[in-house]
Amino acid sequence: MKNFLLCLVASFVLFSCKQKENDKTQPEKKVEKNEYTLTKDGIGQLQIGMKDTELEKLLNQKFNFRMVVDSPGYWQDTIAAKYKDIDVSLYFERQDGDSDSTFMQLSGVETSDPLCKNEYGVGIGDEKMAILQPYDDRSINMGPEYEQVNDTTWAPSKTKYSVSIKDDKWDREIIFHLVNKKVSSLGAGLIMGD
Amino acid sequence: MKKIFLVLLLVTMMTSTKAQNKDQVVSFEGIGALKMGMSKAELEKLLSIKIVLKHIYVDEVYVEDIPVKYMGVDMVISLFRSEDKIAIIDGISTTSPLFKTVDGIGIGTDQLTIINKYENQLLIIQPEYENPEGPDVKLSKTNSTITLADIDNYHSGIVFSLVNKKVVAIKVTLTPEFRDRE
Repeated sequence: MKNFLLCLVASFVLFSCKQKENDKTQPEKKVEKNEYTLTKDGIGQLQIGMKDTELEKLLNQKFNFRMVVDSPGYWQDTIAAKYKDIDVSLYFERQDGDSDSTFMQLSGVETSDPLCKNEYGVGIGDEKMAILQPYDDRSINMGPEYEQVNDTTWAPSKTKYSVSIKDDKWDREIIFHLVNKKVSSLGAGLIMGD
Repeated sequence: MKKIFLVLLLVTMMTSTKAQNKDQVVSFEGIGALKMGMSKAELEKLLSIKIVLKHIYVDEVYVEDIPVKYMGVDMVISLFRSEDKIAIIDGISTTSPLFKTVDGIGIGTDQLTIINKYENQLLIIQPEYENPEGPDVKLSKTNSTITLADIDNYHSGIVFSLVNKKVVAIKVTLTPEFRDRE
């Protein structure tokens, strides 16, 4: 009887270990989207490609493109904004409009708020392997970020790391920034140069 | 006396094992004694062979692959046309389990091990394309590559080819694409 019980316990332990192993290898399931869900196209209603005027209306905020106004040759700018309950950084690029006019277009968005997660529920505080698991069929670049050591030298960071997941057309990407192996911010953007 | 002899024998064996391992190490510099940038003449001398080029300085093609035997193992050397050295090694490929990185990554290693092993290096994971020249190009569900980049200059890399997430081939190459980092 004792032996039988021992066998039963051993089988149960083995089975639960195997189950755990299987769970680990299963791709993550998509979670229900909400207003803070990060995709390759942006965060919620903040969609890559939107014009500054559309965003100003959506966020009820007037943008001050200081970099672009101060330096006529400059074509990029970053705006700190509040989107619903989260703080976001909005990255803009200047685009040519009709005739001689130009406008600013959203080229990237980023947040450090725990409310924002990707379609698989990965967000602030998660680790690298949790990011990678659902994107089995994507091109992924990952490595240390670079920090400026002095005026002329940059070196790979010992604590900061990034993982970027390209979409299948190679024009947009989701980027996770990690500090000490945990996601510290996440966002989406256009792949530069394309 | 017998003990001294045994110790000496052990030291000799350990040294020769170490030397043998060095000849089998895959690094950004090459595989064993086969080094990136090595000239055609140096390669011929090292392998005691004569290489007859079929494209470089024969037609307009600047690159060609040469099948060679190194340590008794079949390998492929990619040569690139060079102005002063006729041709230099531009890539070295192997499918032999004999060759591994110093971290023990070689044929049969799984994807997860590579990702965990090179935690502080630049890695590029890419699914391969099926039928890349044809009309119905699609991403492979089984074949992929992981490129480990030389973080010091990004000009050389080790490309691990994987099938079902296990390494089946290794290539040391001079010019992988690191579009985001350069």
